[in-house]
Parts: sequence; C-alpha cells; structure tokens
Amino acid sequence: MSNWQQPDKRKETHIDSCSVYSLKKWQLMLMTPANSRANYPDHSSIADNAIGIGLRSTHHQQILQQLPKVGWLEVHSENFFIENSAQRQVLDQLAEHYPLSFHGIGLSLGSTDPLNQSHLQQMKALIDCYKPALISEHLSWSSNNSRYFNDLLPVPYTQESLDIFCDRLNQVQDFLGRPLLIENPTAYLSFSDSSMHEWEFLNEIQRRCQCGLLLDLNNIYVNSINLGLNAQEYLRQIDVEAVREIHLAGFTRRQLDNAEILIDTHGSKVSKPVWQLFRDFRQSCNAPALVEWDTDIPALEELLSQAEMASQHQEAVASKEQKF
Amino acid sequence: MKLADLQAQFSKHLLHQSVDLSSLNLTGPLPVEQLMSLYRNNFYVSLTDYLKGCFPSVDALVGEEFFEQLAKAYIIQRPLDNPDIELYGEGFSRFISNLPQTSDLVYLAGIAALDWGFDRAKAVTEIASFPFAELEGLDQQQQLKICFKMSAQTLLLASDYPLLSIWQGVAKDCLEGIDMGCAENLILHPSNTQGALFYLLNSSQYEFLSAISAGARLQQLCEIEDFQQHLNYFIGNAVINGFTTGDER
Repeated sequence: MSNWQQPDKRKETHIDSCSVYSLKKWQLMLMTPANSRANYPDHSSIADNAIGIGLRSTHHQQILQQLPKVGWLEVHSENFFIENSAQRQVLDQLAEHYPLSFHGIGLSLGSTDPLNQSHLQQMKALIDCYKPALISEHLSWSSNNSRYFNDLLPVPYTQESLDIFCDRLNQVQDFLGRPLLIENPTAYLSFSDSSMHEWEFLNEIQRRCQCGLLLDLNNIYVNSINLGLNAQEYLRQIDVEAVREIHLAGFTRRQLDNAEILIDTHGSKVSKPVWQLFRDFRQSCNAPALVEWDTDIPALEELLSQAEMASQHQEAVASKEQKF
Repeated sequence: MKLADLQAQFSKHLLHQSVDLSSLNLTGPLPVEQLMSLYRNNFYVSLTDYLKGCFPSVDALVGEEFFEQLAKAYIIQRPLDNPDIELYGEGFSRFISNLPQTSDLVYLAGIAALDWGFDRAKAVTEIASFPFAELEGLDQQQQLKICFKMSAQTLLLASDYPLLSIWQGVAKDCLEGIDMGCAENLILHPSNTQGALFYLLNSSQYEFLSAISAGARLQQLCEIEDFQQHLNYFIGNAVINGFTTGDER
C-alpha cells in the first residue's frame, strides 16, 4: 500500500400554454393537500409555524417509544426506498403520529444528464404510499454522464442552467403529480458566468414551475460569510409567499491557510446569527421550520432542545408583533 | 462554457482526473484549487464513511489509513452509478479480491462479503414461509423437477481460511488462537426472529445448499447424503423458502 497516494485528510421567462396549465394545476394542488394514507390520522399538511426535526436512524427507537411533541418529521426520501425494510417499518409507525416531509437528495435537478427514471419511480412509489405533506429537493446537481457524487454541487446562475433546471423540475412534478419545494444551496465558490443572484434564480424557478421554496437560513448565512452574499438582502428579495418550509442547522468553521471558511456540516447547534435570521424572517413568513442535524448526531434531547429554542424565537417575534 | 461541459470538467476533477480549473471561471474566498478540494473531500469523505459503516470488520482489520486508501481506490475505479447509495457496497468484496494491494490479505475479500451479507440480511424484515400448499398441488413427477429457492440476502461461502472465526474475532476484538489453516464453509442469512443468523456448515450441508444455489432439481438433490435432514433443517430455518417448477427454468 505504500505506493498509494495518501488520502486527503482535509478531510426564460416566457409562459407558454403548457406552463399556464401547470400553473393552474399546481395552484390547485397547493391549496388542496393530498389525502392522507388510509386509516392514518390526517397528516396531509403541516401547520403554520410548526417546528419539526430531521429524523435520523439513531433516534428511531427513542422517538417511537417517547413520541416527543414536535410538529412534524422530515426524512431523506432515499433512505426509505426499499419496501419491507426495517426503515419502512419505522416510517409506517411514525406516519401514524406525525406529518411527514420527504427531503430528496438524489434527483440531481441541475444536471444536464437525463432524469434517472428508476430513481423517480422509486420516489413516486414512496410518495404514493405515505402521501407526505411536503416534498423537497435541492438547487444543485450530483450526476454527470451517469456517475453520481453523493453531494449537492453548485449550479451557475445562467439562463441555460435556469432552462435546464425548470425543464427537469416540470418533468418531475408532472410525473409525481405534486409540486416540490426547492431548497437554496450552500456553495463554497461562485461562477463568474452567473448572470443573476441566487434569489433571482430561485424566484424565477418558482414562477416558471409553480413549485414552492425551502429556505435554508443556515445556507444563506454560510454563503454570506464564504461568498460575501448579503443575507438581509436575500431575505428581502426572495418571494416570501412561495416559501413553504424553513431549515435551521449548524455549520463548522475551518481554517484554510489564512482564510476561515464555514462548512455546511449540519453537525452542530444552530448559530446565533442564524437564529437572528430566523427571527427576522419570521416577521414575514410563517412556514413550518425544521432543525436539521446530519453529522455528529447528538442525543435526541439536544435536538429537541434546538426545536424548543426555535419555538421560543418565533414566540418572541409573535409577542413583539402583538405589542405593536 | 456550456453547462454540460462545466459539469463534465467538475466531475473529472472530483474523480482525480486532470482538469484546467481556470476554464471553469470560478471565484471564491480561497484559491480555486482549495475550493474545489472542499468538494472533492466532501465527496470522498461521505462515501468513505458509508463504506466504513457497511464494512466495520474490514475497517478494523486493516486500520483507518489503509481503509481510506481502499475506499478511495474503490470510489475512483467504481464510481457511484446510482443516486441511491444504499447498494454501493455491493461490489466492494469483489473489488478487494482483484486488488493487487490486498493480495497478501487473502481472507479480506471474504470478510468484506460477510460484512456486506450481514448488513443486507439485517435489513430484511420479513421472510416468506415455504409454500407447502403449492408443493402439495404437484404430482410426484412434477415434484422431482422442482428447484428450491433460498431466501433473498442469503450468503453461502466456502473459504480456505477460517472466515467466520476471524469475522467473529474482529467483532470481539480477539483474534488470538484462530487456526489460520482451517478451512470453513458457512452461511449467513436473514431471520424473521433474530435479524441475521450465521453458522458453519458441514461438507454435506454445503454441498446441498451449493447444489440448490446452482439450480439443481429435487431429483438431483436426493443423491446428496442426509438430503431429507438438510431439507427439513433449512426449510425450518427459512433458508429455503420457495421453489420453481422445472417448466419455469
């Protein structure tokens, strides 16, 4: 093995007739949530201001035993594709108690590859089975020439990217028969070829595809530090009416040479600046919010305390509004 | 640059192929090489962590540094070809068996096969019972032509080395006293009540299950020593849980 390399330790805006049809269809569906699974309580929607947590396998049994009071659960769709699996058994039980959101990471909507039909069919089967309140994916790509990278890679904000992304998203929504929410990404670099701001790109996707938006406030903060993006301007410019879910998470600081960079690890508590963004954004948006924790996963109690903190922040915003 | 070209170049960089990064017109807080290395590292670390999770015994046997090199070679030579990472470890054992760098570790591919088999068997939640009623619907001549089926995720292994002993020894952190010259035949299969079961097979049991795995008909299985005993035992343990008639072959 000595001759092997050392592993790297560090560690358009035109609306055609088809779009008009889509617009009417999705508007209707957004107003009329899908029916919940037979014999389950009605978990087909998530209440405004509801605080949820990301469901991770290490917490499955504890959540099943304790049924903590959280507004909803979000799962990574791909982890539940296999029928008759232990994962699906857990989901079957949790679906009886909580509204669900399916958060996908594998559609690679920003890629120039053809859509992976097998993946799409598995996703539809899962969605048809559980009828989650929300379905989301990312403004990113993760495949090229049928090779997948298990990561959310950045998209240049150009007209070509926009056309490709919207075309693929429309295909997915038509196939699934439901609108998706698209999440703003974290990026460690930007493309000089980009011709629009990220919020413009997202707003245009939403306008052309009649999808919803998932706003990750940690991602906005991380990008503001890494790329000099103006977070407050972002929140002012994003189409608030289209935001149907908010993500809260933590990041990790890493020193590289003389520069510090924030890594979107989802591996720590929500930071103070992100709580502040949440309070700011809560003044205009009451979409359900979720605490995500994906790496160095803590005890369930710590995750729940972060969800409780989110509730306290939004209550503080509400009480302040009442004074006026 | 067209999006397709940009993504092709980006992908090549992730897979350690030579790319002119200046052509991507990237900007950021650090030199472009460092920014791209963040993405490349995230990609490798996430897949390496996944492989470590699937192959804990391999990881324990070879150590962290060797495992990371093993994983890196696998990721480069066998890139993920599906967005669902769940089955990415499927080819890891075969990859190890063909890798010159592991030729001295003769049992490593077998240990990887056991790790993967255990991971897959654990994921099975329900095993169908043997369809005795269907068997009764066949006449004697038809029964002699049937081929038994083993339950999904059953792993049958014959090794010149004490694979199961090593695998269990790694789990207990105790490899002393294992006779490395002792060949072992073994089975690992899902269980309705115990997640996954694994045990050694005698030569007759192994011959019986190997014949089933190879598609032997019942009339051929009858010639194996202790045939009836094996059949009852493996149906009882849900290893054999179905059959096909000769007409379906």
